[in-house]
Amino acid sequence: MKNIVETLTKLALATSLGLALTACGGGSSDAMVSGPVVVNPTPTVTLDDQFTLYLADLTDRHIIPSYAAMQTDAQTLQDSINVFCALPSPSSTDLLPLQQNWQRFNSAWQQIQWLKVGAVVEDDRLLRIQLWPDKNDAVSRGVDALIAEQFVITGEYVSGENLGAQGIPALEYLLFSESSSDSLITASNKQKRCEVSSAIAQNLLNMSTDIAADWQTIGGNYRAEFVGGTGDFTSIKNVLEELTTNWLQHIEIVEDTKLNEVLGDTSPGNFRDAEHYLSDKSLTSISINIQSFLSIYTNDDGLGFDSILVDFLGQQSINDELTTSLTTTVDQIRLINQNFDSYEAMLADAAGREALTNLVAEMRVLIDLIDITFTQALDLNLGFNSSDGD
Amino acid sequence: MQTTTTKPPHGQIPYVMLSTVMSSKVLLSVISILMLTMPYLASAQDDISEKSQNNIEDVIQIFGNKQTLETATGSGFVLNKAALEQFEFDDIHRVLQSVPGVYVREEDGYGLRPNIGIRGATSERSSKIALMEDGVLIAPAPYSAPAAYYFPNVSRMTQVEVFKGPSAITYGPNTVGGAINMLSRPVDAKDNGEIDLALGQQRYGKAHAYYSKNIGNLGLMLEAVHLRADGFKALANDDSTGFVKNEILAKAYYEFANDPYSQQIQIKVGYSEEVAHETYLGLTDVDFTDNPYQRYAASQNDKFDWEHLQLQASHYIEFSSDITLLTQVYRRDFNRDWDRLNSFVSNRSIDRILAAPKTGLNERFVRILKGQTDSLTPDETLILTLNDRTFYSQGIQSKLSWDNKLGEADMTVDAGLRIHQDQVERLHRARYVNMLSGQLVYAGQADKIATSNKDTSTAIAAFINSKVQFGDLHTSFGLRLENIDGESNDYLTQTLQNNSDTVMLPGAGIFYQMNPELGILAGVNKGFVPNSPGEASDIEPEESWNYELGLRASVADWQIEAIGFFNDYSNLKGSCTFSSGCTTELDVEFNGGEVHIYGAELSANGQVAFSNGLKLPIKIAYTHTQSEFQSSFDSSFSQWGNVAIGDKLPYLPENQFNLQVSLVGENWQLDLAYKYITEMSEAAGTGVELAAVVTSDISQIDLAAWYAINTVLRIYTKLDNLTDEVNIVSRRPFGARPGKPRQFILGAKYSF
Repeated sequence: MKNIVETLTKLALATSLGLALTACGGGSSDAMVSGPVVVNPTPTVTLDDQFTLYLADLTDRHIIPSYAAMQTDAQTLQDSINVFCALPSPSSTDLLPLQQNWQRFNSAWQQIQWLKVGAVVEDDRLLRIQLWPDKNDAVSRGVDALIAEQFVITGEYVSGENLGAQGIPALEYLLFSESSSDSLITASNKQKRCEVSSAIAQNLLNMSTDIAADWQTIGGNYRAEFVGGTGDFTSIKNVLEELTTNWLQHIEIVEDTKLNEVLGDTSPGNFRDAEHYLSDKSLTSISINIQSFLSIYTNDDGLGFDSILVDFLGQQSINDELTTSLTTTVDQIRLINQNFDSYEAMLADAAGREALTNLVAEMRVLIDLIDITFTQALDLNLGFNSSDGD
Repeated sequence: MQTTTTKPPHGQIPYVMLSTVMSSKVLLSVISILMLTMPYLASAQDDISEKSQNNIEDVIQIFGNKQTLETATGSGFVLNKAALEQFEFDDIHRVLQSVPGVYVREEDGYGLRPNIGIRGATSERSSKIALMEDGVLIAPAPYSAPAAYYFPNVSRMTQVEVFKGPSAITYGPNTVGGAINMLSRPVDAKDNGEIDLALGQQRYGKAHAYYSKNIGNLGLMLEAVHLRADGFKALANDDSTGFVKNEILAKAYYEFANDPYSQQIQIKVGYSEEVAHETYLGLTDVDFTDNPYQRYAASQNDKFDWEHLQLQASHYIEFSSDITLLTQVYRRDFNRDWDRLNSFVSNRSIDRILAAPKTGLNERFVRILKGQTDSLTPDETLILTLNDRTFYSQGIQSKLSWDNKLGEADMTVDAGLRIHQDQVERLHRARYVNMLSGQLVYAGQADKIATSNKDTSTAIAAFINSKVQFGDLHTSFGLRLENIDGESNDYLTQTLQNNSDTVMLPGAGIFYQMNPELGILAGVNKGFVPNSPGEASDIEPEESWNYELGLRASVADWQIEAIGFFNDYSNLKGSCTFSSGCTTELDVEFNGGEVHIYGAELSANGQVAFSNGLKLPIKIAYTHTQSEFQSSFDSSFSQWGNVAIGDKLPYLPENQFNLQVSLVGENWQLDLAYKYITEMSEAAGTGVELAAVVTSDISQIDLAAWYAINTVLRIYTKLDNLTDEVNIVSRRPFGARPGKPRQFILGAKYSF
């Protein structure tokens, strides 16, 4: 009963309304309650405007170039496989550029792996490009099934087969075989393996081309939907929420699935659960992922979240926290890659394990910052859940 | 507004949990036996003298012989037996739609787990109001876990009373909104019984029978209800989406002969069970538009299963003609298992997926929910939650009434004491399944315990309420004291937390009869909702000051009541439950700070009589409500979000209107009920799912009619949702959910 006057006023208002209802038999509050007319000045710049600028910059500086790089590198990969397969007696030296081109394509993919909107999620492309984790051995089963076919395997045929046999892990399975009997150089069915490799590379090229085209103005013009919050999206804010969800979930994937689960509780960890245990290129992929997390935030030289937080929302301290956390993780993974060439070796090394543990800890700090502080500052809702209920 | 002339039941009993489950067949057997034997039993009734009026029933009802609605110092509403039978509603939501100031949020279309609020008190699982049967709290654990997962079958109730305003303090612990007291069928002083059978669309079926038998001073009553429906939603595999609900209740009443203290004893034993194929999974808005009654394949295993046992004993004694004492001992055991879809392994919530089904990965997740795509990655594995909870609620309560004179004034003093204990024990497990070819199959992972805890509350509550009548002035003043000790034991975190709270809740009201046609009433009381055990120390109990002011008129054949109310919350709480759409921090409570809820209620009941003997009763109820948060804050509670000053509470309709018109002949009656409820916001602020999203306006007509073939046989029919309106009643917890479509029911009642 702090404000008796207000209490009496509202009770009187409610009662008056009730008595009026007695007399009039009904009515709405709109007719009963009037107040001063408030004219809000038209804001010149809104948060949505800032988001739009951010999305446009991110699309032009990061997303479209990344998909373009994928397409280019897929073509290079396909070409090099065709060259390799044309060799009458290929050697391990001949295989090396092929493996390097696989790595280049994979790096391009890792740069944009976090984004899960647009053509990449249509037609199951996301899983066709990379089915990982592969708990059911879909990759080996799928590739082995392709090799067992008597007819000529084409990219088109691969696109309709087991998802595990269509993408980057499938090529890794073929290019970085664990035994000589499965090697593209020494296997008894190396020709068939070459044929399947070429078909998978063609499939990756086809998907990369489709995805890149979808973002182009003269293609699917997904850029317009993404920047404008239309089409698949309900609003600009919906785009930002989905993008932030993609960003945060991918940080969690790197922290948990790519790092923590592989690290395990004791040395030497669970190397075979690593993303690229055959090629042992996991650390490189993680490094690219973490660098991309910083790029998403700063938008490189464009308008980034850092600018929005500081210049538009006046949230300098939040920006400082996020920037510090992001750059710390980038520095940590850079140092790790400087000190270790092999994830497997690092997992067995005490200093390596400590460095990985520290990286995981810092990424957890980053996750909390984005999940709570960042989203509240930008009024975003990620709609995450828990595993419990009533 | 109506006054009641019916005599409700007598008392209740303690009970113990049965170890066996009563099957539908057993229940039907009981009903069959009742049907076969009752006519013979009834033939002996003339030999038995009528007993005196049962005083127990008069004490346990809010509005009885000692208090009538016409002069009550607070606003109230009574739905008597005739009103309850008018539309033969099994759904408490539909029963209460004619009561001003009461808000409901539909969920399953049948009212199996009702969401009832009063004067702005959150409707979520009816947890903010005092829910009673025969004067005893019926929530599974009223202090520890008040969410109404158990709700009795309205078909066996003979009166529903709703009390708002200052006298609500008599019926704690929740006093912010008001109280609802349902009166179960009494042991009738005359031997009689009835059999009610009905069939309808959605494979609806009802078998209901009761019989009262008097042997000297001993009265017995047995009642059984079987209710079922196949549901109105469809799964691709044609599995049931309906429910089966059975209840059996027995009462024994004994009046001591030639006792100078007029002692009476009553024992009530009841068992009930329900299996409902209910889910929290709704639809995308697009799919809702396409077919609102479809259910996604991912909900195919969802099932809610509960058992409830009640045992209650009542003792009434008159120490003198002016002093009476009613004592009730009660115990209720409730056990529920709800197995249902909870989430994907991905932390992307299902409500998020359904709210933006075309956005990014959501499209793929939606296809998995529909069974159109198989789960392929660990993220796409579905989590079923197997939520088992065991409750008990037990206690003893006494109410002493003293009628005397205060000078020239009549005074009645009621004093009550209740010692109560309740408990909820939760064991929630996560089960991992994959969608494969439209079927849910085990994913090969072991179940994981998500929650394992036990909350216990022990409460001592006392009240004193004096009613004084000086001529045309009626006053009441009361005080309630609640002392609550809570203990929360989390078995997963190995933590034990205790909390304690004592609160004094005053209330006062007046009614002044200005002239024979017009009276004025006013009242104020303190509202309170206790914290559940284990809440964080910074969570305050919900408290408010509630005011009302109004007029009560009686003109010609019309009774009219118009009341303005203002509830001034110093702290309004939100409770995070899954049904509220909350997907994180479950069972956690949130401070909402100061909130103002105000509005007006109008009810008008009258009748037009025609010269040919026909009558046209008319009932009108209208409620207008406004609400405003008085502070800005950011909340992680899913129904609030980032709240600004002036934001409105969610799920509180601004306007709701109900009209009931009947045409009554000598041996027939035709009834029409129309309700209109304006859209409700699904969230208060921004930054949460469903921000700025509203439910549908609801405009719905129900029809009912009966025809008495003779004095013992009556046929009736009803048509709920005459125009087959399709409304989104809520988008929580996951996606859009429809109300019940048109349903035709035909039944017959045989009395003996």
